Amino acid sequence: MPDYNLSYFYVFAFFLVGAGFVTGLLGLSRFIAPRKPSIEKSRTYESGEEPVGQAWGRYPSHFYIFALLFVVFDVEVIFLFPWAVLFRSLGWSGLIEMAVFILILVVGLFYAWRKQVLRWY
Amino acid sequence: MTVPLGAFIAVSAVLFFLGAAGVLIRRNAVVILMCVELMLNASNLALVAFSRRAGQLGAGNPLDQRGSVFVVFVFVIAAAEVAVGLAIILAAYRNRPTVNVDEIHEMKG
Amino acid sequence: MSLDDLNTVLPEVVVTATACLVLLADAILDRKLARFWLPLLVVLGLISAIFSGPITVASHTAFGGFVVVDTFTAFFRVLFCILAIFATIVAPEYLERRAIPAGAFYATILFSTVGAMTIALATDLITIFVGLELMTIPIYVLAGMARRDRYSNEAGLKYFLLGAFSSAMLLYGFAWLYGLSGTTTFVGIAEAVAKGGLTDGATLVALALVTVGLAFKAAVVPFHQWTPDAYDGAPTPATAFMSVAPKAAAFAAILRIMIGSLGPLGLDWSAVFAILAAITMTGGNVVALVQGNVKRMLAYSSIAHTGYILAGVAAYQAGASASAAVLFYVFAYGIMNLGAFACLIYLDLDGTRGASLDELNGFARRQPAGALAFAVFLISLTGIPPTIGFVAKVFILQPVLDAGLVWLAVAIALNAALAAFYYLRVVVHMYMYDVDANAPRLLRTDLLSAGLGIAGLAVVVIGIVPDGLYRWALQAAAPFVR
Repeated sequence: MPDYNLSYFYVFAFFLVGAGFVTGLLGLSRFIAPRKPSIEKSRTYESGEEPVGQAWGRYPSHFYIFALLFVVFDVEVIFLFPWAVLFRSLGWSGLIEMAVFILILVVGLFYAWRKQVLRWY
Repeated sequence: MTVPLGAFIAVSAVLFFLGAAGVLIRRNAVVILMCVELMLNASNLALVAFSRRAGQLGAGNPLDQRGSVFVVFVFVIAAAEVAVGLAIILAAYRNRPTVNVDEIHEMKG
Repeated sequence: MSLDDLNTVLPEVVVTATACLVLLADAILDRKLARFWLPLLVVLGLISAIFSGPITVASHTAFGGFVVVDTFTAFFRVLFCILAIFATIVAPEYLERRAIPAGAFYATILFSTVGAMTIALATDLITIFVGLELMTIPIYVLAGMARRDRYSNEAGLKYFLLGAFSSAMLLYGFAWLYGLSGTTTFVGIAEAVAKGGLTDGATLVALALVTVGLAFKAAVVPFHQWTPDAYDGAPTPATAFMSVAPKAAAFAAILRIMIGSLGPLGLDWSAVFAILAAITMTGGNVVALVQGNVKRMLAYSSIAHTGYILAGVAAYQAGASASAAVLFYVFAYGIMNLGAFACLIYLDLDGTRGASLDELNGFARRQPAGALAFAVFLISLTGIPPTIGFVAKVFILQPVLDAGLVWLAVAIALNAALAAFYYLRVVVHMYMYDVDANAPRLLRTDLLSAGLGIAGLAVVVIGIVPDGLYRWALQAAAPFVR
């Protein structure tokens, strides 16, 4: 087993190698690639939407509802992971318990759906 | 060599006080919410650190199970709290576009 | 998990299932059917929850020691279900008038009730924390439920920010308790604390954080600032529920933690609690005195009642009678305070605002039954016989004197006299004054009157024959006698 400080050294070495690799490649491409800049090329997206305004602009709050639902249903996974690891030893009762747990969440989702929360305006 | 328990607890105490100070000083409701999350995560760090200590004192597991399970529950509760909190902040924002808690003060007495 | 475990927490399962059914019914039924069926479903579910649990039971742990059912649990289960039933009965007409989604309202109350019941079940820091949060998070929603109303927004926001802050403090305190004892069970913590005493800093940190966190939850001065705004701005039926159930649950948590697990440090914290109790009752009463808005006045008066209950906790060295007094007072406070707030539902005002004193002028002539019920609740809150409020104060005074806290008993008596002034002022306005020309319209409310009638009757009847309830409270306090 490696010494505790040694594992920090590994992390640091990885960091150095990674950083060196990226800068090396970027520098290499700058060195050998031809450069002919034009207005069209130096835009943010070469052939897409024109960027308008600042990134600090406000987003429609409809997105917020979806983000929120995602957060709520996402954290259930934290209970699913330990359950999945012990799936075999928990047996049938474990399966039923998790089914009930998911079912309660589904009731919430069903309610949100019927109350038109999920409609995309 | 391992990182001693005291180091974890020191970090968690620093995080907790940063969060508490943020709640008391900042006036933006969303930032206050983030500071509360910081406090909850400080508790999580402390719980995991104590859980490892309790595990080492006992036999077998490297972690004491109760402390680790506590952390899982705190995660879920924190998520629920954020969801409800943001919804409340948004409802208030729709009626009057501000998230400054000093400006949201209509009731007196 | 075995079927035996499930059977232990049957009332909680029933309430959860009812909440899910309410959500499903609200999603499926059309508006007319829902208006009739939803409240009925809630009340039936809660009644079956009461009868699905035992009333007297030997202490019985389940779920690997995370949960305990004893007489204390049984007492609070019934109390929380009764409070939720009353909150449901008084709400429908108000909700319809203000266009607040009824299904969501009932489901939220039910989820909060499950959380409160979980606190009464707790024998472990994890269970009690999950229960506290499951109780409080729905209450934030209830406070902010009138989404288009600015007062309701403000109430929800303030309650949420301070509630989340206090939860975080409490959790950090729990983390320290776990750290110094190496276990999350109350029994294990009590053993570790008894061995160590209050000699090391870690214990002091944990004790301070837990005390402050719980003080926030129960609205103890100086941690009460959220209370008036949250109670004042929330929709009135929500206020009626959130002024009683979370407070009762907070005291269940205080008894479980402070006596059940930190009891060995009792000598150190009971003095602190006595001082907090005195400050709380005085602070609440003095500010309530100058309020012109009745809803806000009741909000401050509920802080004062926290002080009286806390006095019972501080006197815990007097033995079972102290804890029993706390339980009895919590029960009495629950019914009379819920009723008092619910009486304000009669007045059809804009938004979630409460009535001012002048708007109640001549209320007795316009709505005799409602005024009578309101008067009964106010008299009971003052502590005048023959009401439950009077008996509750007597039961609190006894252990406070037994514990040698004479100054605290004097403070309680003085505060009761002070409170009489502002409570009875409302009665005077209702009965002695003429109706104003611009008095607010009244809501047509048969269900509300029926609910208030039952609650008012209970306040008087238990006030005359309190023995049964007190004996039950004594039994429920038995787990805390050492």
